[in-house]
Amino acid sequence: MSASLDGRIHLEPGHRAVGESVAARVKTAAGKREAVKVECSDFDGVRYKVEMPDKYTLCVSIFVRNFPEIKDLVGDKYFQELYKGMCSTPEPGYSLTLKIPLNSSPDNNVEADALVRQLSCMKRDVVGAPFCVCFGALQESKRPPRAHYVINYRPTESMYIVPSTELCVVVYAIAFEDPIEQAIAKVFLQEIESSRKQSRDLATAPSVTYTHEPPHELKMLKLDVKTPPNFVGFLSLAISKRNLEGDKLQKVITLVEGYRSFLMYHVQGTKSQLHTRIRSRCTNWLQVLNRAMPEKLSVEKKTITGRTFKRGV
Amino acid sequence: MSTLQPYLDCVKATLTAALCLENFASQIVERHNKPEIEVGTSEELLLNTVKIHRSEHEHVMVEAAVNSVRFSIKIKQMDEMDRILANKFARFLMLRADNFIILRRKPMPGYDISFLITNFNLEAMRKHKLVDFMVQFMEEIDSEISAMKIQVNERARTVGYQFLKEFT
Repeated sequence: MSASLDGRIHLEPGHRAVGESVAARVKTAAGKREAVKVECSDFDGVRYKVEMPDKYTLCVSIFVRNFPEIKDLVGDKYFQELYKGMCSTPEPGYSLTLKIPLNSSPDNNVEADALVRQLSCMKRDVVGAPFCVCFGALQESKRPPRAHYVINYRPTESMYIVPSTELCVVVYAIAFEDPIEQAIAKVFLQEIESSRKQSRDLATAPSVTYTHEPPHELKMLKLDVKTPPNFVGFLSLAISKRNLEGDKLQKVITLVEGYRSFLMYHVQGTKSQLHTRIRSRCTNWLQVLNRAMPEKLSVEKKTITGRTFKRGV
Repeated sequence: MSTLQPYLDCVKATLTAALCLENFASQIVERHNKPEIEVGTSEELLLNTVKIHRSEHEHVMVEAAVNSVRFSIKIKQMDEMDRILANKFARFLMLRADNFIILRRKPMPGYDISFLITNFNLEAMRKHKLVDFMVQFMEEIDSEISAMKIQVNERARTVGYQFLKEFT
């Protein structure tokens, strides 16, 4: 889905399983729709449920752990406007439930695709709602209603958004539980900073800084910044107005909201890459060691008449 | 030139000399035949321990006894990443100690990986090939760790670049 040459570098913006199960219902004729109940998980502890309570309705629910907080930040009406006419009372255990009447679902493919995409990207739209508000305001050189936004999207980790008229600074407090992941993540954070500095063709990309201390944008706000246990560092991205030019708003939101998942994905990928390498190297050594054993002394020999005999030792 | 070759040569010579073992049943417990270096009950059967240092962070220890030799390696670890990789390697190998007949299941304190060679192992294997294996192992584990570090850095760089590239 991304513009990258290599499809394995970037994550898809939406959830594939949700997208597929929604598409299979929306795009088929009324008589052929199969009932469905799919529950699946996404990054950052997000859960989805796709269900058909009756023949004519499709329900998509999402659970986001800090949903009340996000709702508080962007206002109640935000989601009602985003999902016009679809919002209904959330199901127990979920934060937001959308009801899609399948009878009035779009019959042309373009609209149906758009609907599928919108539903599969619910995590981005919900968790990234404050980004949408801030970047939208930045595009119009306005200030968003609040001086700063804090999204505690994981139990121990948070994203901070510090908007101004020219820039919008996004700070991630990143932690990894496993010491190996921590070390790899540290390398990734150092390298993203240095590759921004060294590559000329990234001159228009947002500037990146990686620090252990809270960056000064956070210090100025005098927020109570808790560094979680197993803390790796703060990464700040300064998104300028230029980054949002054209129709890039949605793409930037996807990227910024998904950075932690993106990092996680690559850290895990690196881990398994190392593991594969260690494994093959160990097999290699085992072969060398086995070479030290002399081959079994010649197999049983037979006389010309077919009888065997044992050699004296 | 690097100090690697003389270091490996020295290890090779020491190991060849130490691997001069004979069958020796326990003189304390009847019908026991255990590697004396592990049992350690009769001091007169143990030889002097030899330590060979390449640098402060990289050394080996050869402990010899009448019927067994214990060979421990400390892998060079300059930063966190080195430490993690060396640890991963050692753990991975020791989980497979059944196949690596001569590998000790636990390294000696202060070392990353230990081998235990008994006279029985030596009877089943060719001595010079066994020594070659040890030396090759030491040589390769270092280069493998540094190659893996470079690989991680390279990947991190490409990934970081591609992420930022999406903004432009």
